[in-house]
Amino acid sequence: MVTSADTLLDIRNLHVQFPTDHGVVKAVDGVDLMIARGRTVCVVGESGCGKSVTARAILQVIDAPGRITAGSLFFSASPETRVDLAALPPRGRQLRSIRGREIAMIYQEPMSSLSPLYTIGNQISEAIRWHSPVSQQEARQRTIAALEQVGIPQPQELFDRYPFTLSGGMRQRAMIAMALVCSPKLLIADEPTTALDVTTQANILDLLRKLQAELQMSLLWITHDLGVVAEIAHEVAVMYLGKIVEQGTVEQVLHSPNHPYTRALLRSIPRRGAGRLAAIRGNVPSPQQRPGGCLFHTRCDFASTGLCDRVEPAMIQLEDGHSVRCLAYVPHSPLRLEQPPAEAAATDPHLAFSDLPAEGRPVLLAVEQLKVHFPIQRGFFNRTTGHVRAVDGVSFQIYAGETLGLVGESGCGKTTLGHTLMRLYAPTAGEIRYYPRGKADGDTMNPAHLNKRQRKQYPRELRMIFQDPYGSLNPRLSILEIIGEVLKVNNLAQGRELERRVRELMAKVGLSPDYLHRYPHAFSGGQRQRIGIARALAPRPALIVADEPVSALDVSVQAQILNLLKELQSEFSLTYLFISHDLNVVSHISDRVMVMYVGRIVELAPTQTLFQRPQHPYTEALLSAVLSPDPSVRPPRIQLEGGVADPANPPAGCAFHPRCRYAQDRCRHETPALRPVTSVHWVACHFAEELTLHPMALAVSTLQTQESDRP
Amino acid sequence: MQIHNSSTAGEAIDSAEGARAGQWWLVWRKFRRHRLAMIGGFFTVVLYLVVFFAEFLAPFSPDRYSAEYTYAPPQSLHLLHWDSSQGWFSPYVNGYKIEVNYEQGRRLFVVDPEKRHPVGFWVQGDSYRLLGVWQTDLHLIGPLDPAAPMYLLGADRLGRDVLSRTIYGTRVSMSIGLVGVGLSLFLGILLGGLSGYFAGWTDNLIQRVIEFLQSIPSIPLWIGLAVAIPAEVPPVQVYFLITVILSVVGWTGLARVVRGRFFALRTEDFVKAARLDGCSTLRILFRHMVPSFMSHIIAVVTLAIPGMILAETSLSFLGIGLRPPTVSWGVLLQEAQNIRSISTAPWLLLPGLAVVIAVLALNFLGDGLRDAADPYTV
Amino acid sequence: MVRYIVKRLLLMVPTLVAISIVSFTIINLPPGDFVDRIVAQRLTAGEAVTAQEAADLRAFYGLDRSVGEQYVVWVSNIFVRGDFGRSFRWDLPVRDLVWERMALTLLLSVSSLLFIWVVAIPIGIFSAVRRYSLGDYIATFLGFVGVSIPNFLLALVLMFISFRYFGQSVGGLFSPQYINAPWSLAKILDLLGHLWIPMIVLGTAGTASLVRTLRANLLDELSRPYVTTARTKGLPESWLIVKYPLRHALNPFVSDLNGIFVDLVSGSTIVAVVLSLQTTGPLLLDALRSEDMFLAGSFIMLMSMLAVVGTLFSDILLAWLDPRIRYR
Repeated sequence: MVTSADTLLDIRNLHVQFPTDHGVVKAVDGVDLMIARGRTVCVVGESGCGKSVTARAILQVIDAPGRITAGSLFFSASPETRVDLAALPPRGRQLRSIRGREIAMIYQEPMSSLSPLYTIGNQISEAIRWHSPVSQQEARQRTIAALEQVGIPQPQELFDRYPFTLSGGMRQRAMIAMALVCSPKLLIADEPTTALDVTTQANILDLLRKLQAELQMSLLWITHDLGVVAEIAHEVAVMYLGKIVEQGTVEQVLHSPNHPYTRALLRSIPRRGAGRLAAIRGNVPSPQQRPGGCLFHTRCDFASTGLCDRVEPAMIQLEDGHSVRCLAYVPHSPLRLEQPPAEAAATDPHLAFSDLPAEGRPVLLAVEQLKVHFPIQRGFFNRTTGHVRAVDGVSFQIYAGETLGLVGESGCGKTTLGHTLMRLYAPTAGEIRYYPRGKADGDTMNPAHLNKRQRKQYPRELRMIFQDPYGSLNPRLSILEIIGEVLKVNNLAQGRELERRVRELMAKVGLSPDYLHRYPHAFSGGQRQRIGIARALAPRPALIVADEPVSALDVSVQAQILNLLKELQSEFSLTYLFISHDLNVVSHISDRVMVMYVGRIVELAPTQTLFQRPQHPYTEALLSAVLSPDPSVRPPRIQLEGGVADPANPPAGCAFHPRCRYAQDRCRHETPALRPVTSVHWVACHFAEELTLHPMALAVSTLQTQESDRP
Repeated sequence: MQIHNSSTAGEAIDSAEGARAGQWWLVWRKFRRHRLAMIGGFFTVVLYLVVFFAEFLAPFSPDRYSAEYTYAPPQSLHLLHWDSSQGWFSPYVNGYKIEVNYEQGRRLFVVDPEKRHPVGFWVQGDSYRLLGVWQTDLHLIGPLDPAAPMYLLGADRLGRDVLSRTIYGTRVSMSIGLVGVGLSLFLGILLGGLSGYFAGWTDNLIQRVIEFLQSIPSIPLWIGLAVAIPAEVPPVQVYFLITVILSVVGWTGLARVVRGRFFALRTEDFVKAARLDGCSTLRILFRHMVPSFMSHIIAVVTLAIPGMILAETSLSFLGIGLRPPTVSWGVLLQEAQNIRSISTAPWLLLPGLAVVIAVLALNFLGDGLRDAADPYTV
Repeated sequence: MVRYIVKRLLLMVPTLVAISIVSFTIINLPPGDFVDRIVAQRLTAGEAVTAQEAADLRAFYGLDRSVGEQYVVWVSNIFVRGDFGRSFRWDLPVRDLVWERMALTLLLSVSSLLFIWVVAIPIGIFSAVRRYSLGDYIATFLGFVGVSIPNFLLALVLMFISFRYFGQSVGGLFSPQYINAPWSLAKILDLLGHLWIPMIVLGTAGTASLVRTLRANLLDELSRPYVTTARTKGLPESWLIVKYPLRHALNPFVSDLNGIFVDLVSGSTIVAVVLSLQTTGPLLLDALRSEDMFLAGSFIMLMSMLAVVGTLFSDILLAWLDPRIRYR
């Protein structure tokens, strides 16, 4: 139990409101949270739940027009002192002396959070010099020490560099150094790893956990990712629409979640082997339309009309430190949190993995030695000074009806490969062959050489789903026009027939056909992604390239979309090439997985095999970086040093060798070819057979069984 | 900031009307909240109405001169006058009397409060063709006795009515802005589009030309070109040549905007999606790209008109733009070129006020349009 | 940085060549030439001019050669001997006429530019930081009015006011006794005493538009994450605004600087005519009207070059301010 002497920050009844033209938005609506010395508290929730605003309220750096309307923020720099941060004037001297010195903050975007106009050293040492009377020389020394502390290799040299010359991971390290340089008592981290690659994220998490223990500081960590929570938190607060709905230690909340929302969030995390994900229905309501009663009742499977929509639940203490805001825990509550019968039918026969091994099916698409290079042009006369080898000799086949997952860090050529299949880029070398009815049939299309009929047919059979649900829909066209465009320009349907087909498609993707004439701005991210899926589906394609289709979505919505994709696959016998950086998602949806690194495929295997018996060191590193939402699962992590190699100038030999812990002399000279180690498992590593690599740690599957029903 | 995003989406969703709102409705909704822009828009509309109905609104023909009333000062219009003999509110203007200034040795007109010339609305005067079609002689306002002097904004050196001339000047000055911008827009869209579409060498070349044209001072360039127009060229051609000269520089800014938008849009996912839908290049252009920057173009065009008006006024003022008998604000201001005429008749500067109002109105309007042009960002 | 400057200097060469061609083309556009004008004058004076005489005159002035040849001679003389040709009308070498006037144009443009900076930056900052305050509304409105007044009109109004209410003439850059006097301290002081009116006239539009640009830029920058970062570091608000958002907001401002400078050089032409300043404007207009081609051409060329050099300066300033450009 936390005693008051141990309390560093005590947030009481915090309210933050944003007056807007459409009424007051209650972004934070009565949050109570205590942060003890030397502990890590995670605030977790989906977008728009007020977690970031809570964090920013502590130092009173909320974006205009938001302001703290009620509540207090008691901060005790030492056990004897106590000051209410909320009562201090936001621009006053007292709050300023706390900012940066006692409480520091790091943000999601290391690029935009650092000014490109000043050197890293300037921006870090400035913080020291404003807080303590030290000489420029001493400030420099301390800055360099801080940079060293966060694991930056040549801190002396980095001091004089500008932020835009660094990689994302380096920038985030510099940000952390800036935050730590005055040895704050509390570090507030607002989604600091969200914009980073999984491998970099793992490094930053390790670093912060280490520093936190070393420096004995408290950490308030804002995140949407339960994997991160399990990784770093001591205590967790789950937020929903501006209120904390469940709170406790990380084991309490993640091992025995009590609030239906927490449970649903955990269940909706995609994982290997699960059939249908238990998605939360609907979307997070907009903050202006907060439901009455229990905030979650509109999306809760257990909500009871007449109770949950009327009575606002208070926070209820369950056991030591574990509390929950749900009416089911009120003494003598009529509410029961039992699994609804619908949940049992989750294992739909269509949705189970197909028994037929993917290799036994006909080949739909074959790619051979594909290269896509982009010239780098410089100078006055646009001379070509080099090539970005985005895709550099890739061969694989996609079988009809399968889902082939494609993973890799950003900049490894995944998207370029997908776009090339869609004919958005022309191949530099190599061939793509598409077999409309399977290879045996004999009809072949080469997207580089299509005849007139094929030029119409190919783009109808291969369709694409985009990552960004906002940018991929033309805001100036109605849903009918967006989905119907492909039917219209290909003369597949007109007028009433077109409208009928679009209505049908909308129903298929779970949108009300009444929305036919609405414009994209009226839809949420998840709904927009459904529109994008309907558009891809419209000409009855055979193969869909899905480029990170769920990366921009909240966890609960992500599960809905993944379920939808699976349903549609079985209904229309679709084949997917599923591009993602999220291995959980890929492991959930794919039959086979392909790993790319710097324009080449390094490993290709059935999902089960790849995750359990990876044979390429890069795959092993990726797998070890995956975070499990189970705090008891802490696999040994492989630290990948440096960033992804520059595709314009890849290292000689195996492109991965500078980061590979098994690299030998041969790897530096000889480029390994992609070769079969079993009939279904291909690896591009000289030592595939000799290495014993770690599989992915056991994931969530154990969690579900631990959920208790009513206490 | 996520709060703001989701709130606009959420706000739109609950009103079916908002959800079904197309681009122009949203632009209008955003524009409407910009009060100064609304006022600017109102004045712009009024000015263009003046362009069409100049003959009706002006009391006299612009060329009607009177040797009797040179440099007559402005009279004030007495609207609410109760005339017991007529039993009606009968507006009037005062007449003039002559004073001789012995120091300067000149005759001066002074408003004589004793004399009253009744004024009427909807009166008959010089005849004209309304909108070039209907023969009529009705004027909005005029003296009941055609021979009586009425100079609401004073008279110039030939005794011509400054008000009437300013109203007629509106026609040329406002339209030259529009025609000049139209021409610039044509060149800008053509060359900016080429630049954006072909990229590479074409783009490079056009960009260099634009940079070059923008780097040389425009007024010496304009003067140089305008002086080259021979004196014997008829007014209509001068008018056209001046718009061409103004557009020589004017197109560059528009071309930049078009090209910039073009490049930005080309990489948008929804344009890629249109390509994947099998749309032809033309369809991608006109269905998917042009509507996205149409509103921006309109805003930029509105903001370009004032520049044209100012340029024409300046050139004409220097005597190398439009020339009499053409009547434009700049031509009218030529009368006020030296300190002597200004000190005798400061009202000759009043056409300048028209310039300021027009430019101000268009700037306000353009500013509001620019803010409202993209209703999808908050 | 040095590389960048050298690159920029090299890029200027084609621009300068193009400017000389354009200048020469413009002065050749009007029908007829200077000799036609002399002939016309003599004819009106009742003197007969034979074709032979006219041809001799043309040969004397070098007008009998082809346009291309004339251009080459003109440009090569400028390069080799700094000789801009001869003014037909004044019968003087062009360089004797242009340099002093160019210097005064430069002085006027630069001082107007400084005036703009000194006035616009504080108002712009105030307007952005105290957004929607009364002061902001006034600044915004005055800004709109400022850009809407043609500067010659402003000059006329100022002239009228000072004539009517202060009983003095505001034209010119010098008091009458100094116009033809040699340069002396007294003349310089007299110049400075006269400079402020054209400076204000010329600077008003630029000031107004810069206030608007700076306000908009600064508002954009104020909501950027790096500002919050600086705030959470514990920096005082005023220091923070100057160091971060203002510095960022000044970048587009600096890159727009050349545009403003070009406008100043350009706008000074008309203002100079109205206020009868001894800068390039009135003489240029006069030269163009009388087809004094070398004088007019030299003026157009030198003013364009002034603008190009101004552009160079603003580019270098921008590169110095913004490391991203240096590192490209």
